[in-house]
Parts: sequence; C-alpha cells; structure tokens
Amino acid sequence: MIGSFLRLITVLAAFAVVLSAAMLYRVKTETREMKAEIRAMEREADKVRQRIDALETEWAYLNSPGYLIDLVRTHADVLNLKERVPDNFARLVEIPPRGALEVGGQQ
Amino acid sequence: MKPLFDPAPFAQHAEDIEFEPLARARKPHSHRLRMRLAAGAFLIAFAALGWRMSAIALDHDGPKEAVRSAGVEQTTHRAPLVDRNGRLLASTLQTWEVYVHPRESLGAGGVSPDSLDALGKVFPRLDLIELRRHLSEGKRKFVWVARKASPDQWRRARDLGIIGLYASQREDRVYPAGRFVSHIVGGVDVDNIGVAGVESGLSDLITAPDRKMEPVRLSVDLRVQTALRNTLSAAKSEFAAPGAAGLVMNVRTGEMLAMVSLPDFDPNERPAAPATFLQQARSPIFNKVTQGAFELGSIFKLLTTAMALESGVANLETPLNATAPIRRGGFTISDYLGKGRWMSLREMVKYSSNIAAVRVAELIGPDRQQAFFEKFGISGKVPLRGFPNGELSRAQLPQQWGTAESATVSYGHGISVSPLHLATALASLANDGCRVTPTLLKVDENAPSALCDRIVSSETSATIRGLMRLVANESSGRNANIPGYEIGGKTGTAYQVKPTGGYNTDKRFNSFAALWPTSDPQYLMFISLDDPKLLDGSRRLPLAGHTAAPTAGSALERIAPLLGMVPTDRFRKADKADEKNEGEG
Repeated sequence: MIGSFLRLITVLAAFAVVLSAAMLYRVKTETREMKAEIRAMEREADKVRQRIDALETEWAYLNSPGYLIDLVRTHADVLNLKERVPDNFARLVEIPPRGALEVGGQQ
Repeated sequence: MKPLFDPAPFAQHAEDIEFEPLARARKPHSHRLRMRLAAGAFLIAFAALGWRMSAIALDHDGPKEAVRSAGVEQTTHRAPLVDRNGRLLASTLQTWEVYVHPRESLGAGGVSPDSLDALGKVFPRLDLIELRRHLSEGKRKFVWVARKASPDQWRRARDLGIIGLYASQREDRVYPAGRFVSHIVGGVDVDNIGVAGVESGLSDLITAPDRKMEPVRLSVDLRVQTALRNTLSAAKSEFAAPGAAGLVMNVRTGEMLAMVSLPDFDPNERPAAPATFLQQARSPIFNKVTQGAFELGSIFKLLTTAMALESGVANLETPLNATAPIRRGGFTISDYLGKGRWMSLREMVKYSSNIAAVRVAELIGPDRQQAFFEKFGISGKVPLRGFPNGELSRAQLPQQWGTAESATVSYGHGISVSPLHLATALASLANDGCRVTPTLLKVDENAPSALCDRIVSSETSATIRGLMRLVANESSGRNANIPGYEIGGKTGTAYQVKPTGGYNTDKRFNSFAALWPTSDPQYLMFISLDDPKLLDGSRRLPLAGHTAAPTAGSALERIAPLLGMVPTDRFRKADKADEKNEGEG
C-alpha cells in the first residue's frame, strides 16, 4: 500500500516537473518576446517623441515674434493687424450687440 | 617505560559508546510516518511552486514591470525652456552629422553620378563639385556631407545606398525665438553645455535626471520681451545710439518679465567671445543689463532722498541752498537749467537739482550713505536667480568714501552700477520697502509670500512713489506719462566716463526708471540708451527726458495692455461721457 502511494507521488512529482518545465519555458519565451516588443515600442515612442519635439519647435519657429512681425508687415493690406493699445479696452455695455455692425454696414 | 600516550581515556570512552541498533529493525512505524511526512512536505512544496509558476505565467504585470525597470536610455538630456505662458524658448532636437569615407567608396567602385545628384537633392547646400573631387581623389579619409541633418534627411540619404556614407547622431539645442531672447537664454557650446544666460545659470535644473524633460518655466513673458525689444530697437535707430538696454520687473515677486540688451545676437549661432576687455563692452554677447557698469546719474537722487527720509535728517519740505554752483573735491557741481534759488527736498527731486542733492548728502554724511548703499544692495553683485555669476557685474564704488565722493554719488556720478542694480534697489523701495530679489524663474502664484526683509519704512516707500509720480506727471518724466496707468518715473542723464579717465561731455548715458501704478506698484521698467543724439533738427541737448523717457512711454503703452492692465482714466472718460449723455437725455 505504501509502495503504491509512493509510486503515485513519484508519478505526480514527475508530471509536475514536466508541467512546470513546460510552463517555465513558455513564460520565458513570452517574457523574451514581450521584452523585444517593449523595446520596439519604446524605440517607436522615442521616435514619436522626437517628432513631437521637432514639430513643436517648428510651431514655435512659425510663431516666433520675428517671423510674425514680418508676416504682419508683408500682409498688412489684407490682415490690417494693429498692436494692442490702452484704448482698446472697453466695458461690456460699450460693445455693440452681435449683428448690429453688419446691419449698419449693409445700410 | 611509559607509553607515548596513555590509552586509558580512550578506553574509558569506548566503554561509554553504546551501539544503537538499526532504526528499521527497532521502529518500523516511525519509518512509515517519516516517509509520509517527507512525501507530504514535497507535495506541499511542489504545489506551492506550481501555483507560483502558474501565477507568473498567467499574470502579465509581473514580467512587464521587470523589463520596464531595465529601461531604455533617454536620448535627450537638456529639458526645454518655456516662457511664463508656456511658449517654447529652447528645445533639444535630434540631428545627424553625415559624413563620407572617400577611400571606402573608391574601394567599392566609387559613387555613381546619379547617387551623387540624389544626395545633392537631399542636402541642397552641399557643394557637389567639391565632394565629387574628394570622392574621385580619395586623398582624404573623411569628408563632411552635412553637420546638421534632420532624421528624415538622413533616412533619405541612407536609402541611396552609397557605400562609405555614415552618420552619427547628436543633440542640437535650438532657440525658436532667436535674437528676441538672446541674452536671457545665453547659449550652449558644441558639447551642449550651457555657456551663458539661463542655459548656464540653470544648468543643474535643465539637466536634472529626475526632471524627465519637463520644461523649465522662466519668468519671462515673450510678448513683453518682444514689445520691449522692438521699442528699444526703434529708439536705438531714432537716437542713433550704439547700444540700448532695458528690463521689466515685477516689483512684488522680483520676476523679470523682460530683459533686453542691444546689440543682440542669435543664440542659434552664438558669436565667439571677444578677445580683449575693451572689445567686450562692444560685443553683442555683452549683456548691458547685468554685466554693464555705468554711471546712471540722477535716478540716484531717489536713493539719496530715501536715505534722508529714513535717517530723519530731512523731510520733503527741508530747505536746501541751490542758489549757485558749488565746488567739491576739485569739481564744480552745477545744475542743468538750475533754478538758482533755495528749494525743498521735494523740488530737488522734481527739478533734479545736483546742487541740492549734494546738500542732502552732506546732511546724511559719507558713512551713513555707504551703509545705505550696502543695505540697498548696491555694493556687490545682484543675486539674479537663474543667471551665472560670471555674467553679473560688481558695483564699482568710490575707493575712498569722503565728502567729495559722497557729494557726486548723491546724484549718481562717481559710482558705476549695472541697470539691474539700480532697478532692483528701486523695486525694493517701491515694494513697500521690502527687499526684492530678482529672478528669471517663474514664481508660483500660490506660494506663500516671503517675510518682509525691510530696507526702508512703509512711509518712505510711499513718499518715494509719490515723488516718482510727481516727476512723471509734472517734470522731466512727462514724456513717459501714459494716461490711465498712474506712471511714476525718474530720469537720469550722465556724462560717459572716458577710458582714459575724466568725463566725455559729448557722450551721455540716458536712463529712465518707470514704476506703475504708483499707488499699488506692480511693475518697474528700466531703460538705458548709450550715447543718444537728437536728430530732429532741434538744438536741445539729448537729455533723458527727451530720449529715454519717451522710449519708456512707448514701451509702456504696448506692455501694459499686454499684461491685461486696463487704463483707469479710460473708464473715467467713459463715465464722464455717460453722465453727459444722461444730462442730454
């Protein structure tokens, strides 16, 4: 009786060893794959980050004071932009209601 | 004969040893129990192991985290710089340095003309004739193709498949706002190490590893900076001045909203440092605001007045004898357009009388005057936060502080300081008399305000502000008096010191300090013009009231609305108009 019990345990243990080895192998492979995937993703993220940096810098260039001043000067006839002066401030009651100006313009 | 050793003790022991019979023979039950226990223990251990392994296999967070901690190295190391509103002032980009090994190319059969033409299309500035010569000769081992190529350019070049074409990656610091922020950002060297400006002064913060490329937020407002630079640039042309300097400071927090020194430079192509000391002051990289040391003239009369009020030797009505020029230490001190009469301390500031200022200095005395200068922060360097120590000038004080020196110092001569020195002292006087420490880093609005480090009393602060308002409203500062902003100011016209010693009476240094609104001071502007000339055909002398004051006025007219400040009389006028309408109705 003891012999059969021992045999059962031995068989179970052997089975567990094989099972755990298989599992461990699977986990290891998965981990390696995942690692590669993460590295690729991080490289990709880094590239995207670099692109964002480049685009942000380009945007800042396009909005740099020097460039904007040149644009405003070159296209003054179309844009007709003026610098903000102290007289530009108005109270809400002084602003004509929406649409009032267009109507006035048509007449 | 005695044996070598006595066996007796061993024999004694041998008798004590009792041979235990084999366990199996004696206790068969105990054996079975032990086996079962061992098997059970093994089973439990295996079960635990199996459970743990399956947990690892099924749980996806475990291994993932382990990999992440291993990390991928960060490719950029200098954090971006942004202005107080988040506008980009400096950023780090990945660029490629592309080069070719001509011998390697030749060894592989040379480069086809088609590939070379295609390479020329990728790099429009490339000298193809020169490159072709190098490639055919093969004399040199190494030839540059492009020092700064974008990642896209390098990809396209690499795809041409030219043998011997290589590239190495590098970081490049770029400043999108260019010369508008030149002296503030300073610049970096070829190894991306900050050499000037905040790039050097805030280097530790910019390169801190735990910053994770979070931008460093400066106190500068790019809009205010642009407005100040453009106004100064226009004034520099209008008055044919070789140089100009200006700053805008928040008098409550010490934040520098703008700092301009003209001529300036493009920090993307930072010029080399000048070789000699004399060239240094003329170089565009010289920051007049922080590095300069100038005799700034009559603005010092505000400091003299504050000293007199604080030490109690005079009040605003104290009569001072300004009837005739006086001689002190071999100099004749006179007034420009003097009144030639006795005047009060108030009138001394209003009419900017040198003679009366000397009388006040004599009441204060040299020792007390010197102590006050130390208290006002005009003795060493100004601790401008975020700026490298090497770019801050030391005040040049009189070597011996006797009565003659004390006399000239009272109206801002014989003492050389940077505009930052004087602006900081005035900001402290205006800030209810509490010391202001200038900074280029944005101050957290929610941060608790620091305890007042008092340098003058609240009353003196209010009096000085009142005097500044008087000058801007009725006297030499009228040209800076933009209605509705309660502007206070003081002019300073000083002869320039000749390099050989003595004064050059043809060259002046004109300055204007503006404070607004004087009843609740928020901002201080300081403007200096180097050797301005009046080219309007008038025979007027180029005094600060005609040059620096109107420049400050036009800068203010643009800056105050940008800061969202509504002119008070704008609404006063509107109210009057309303009343009128009501009356008519």
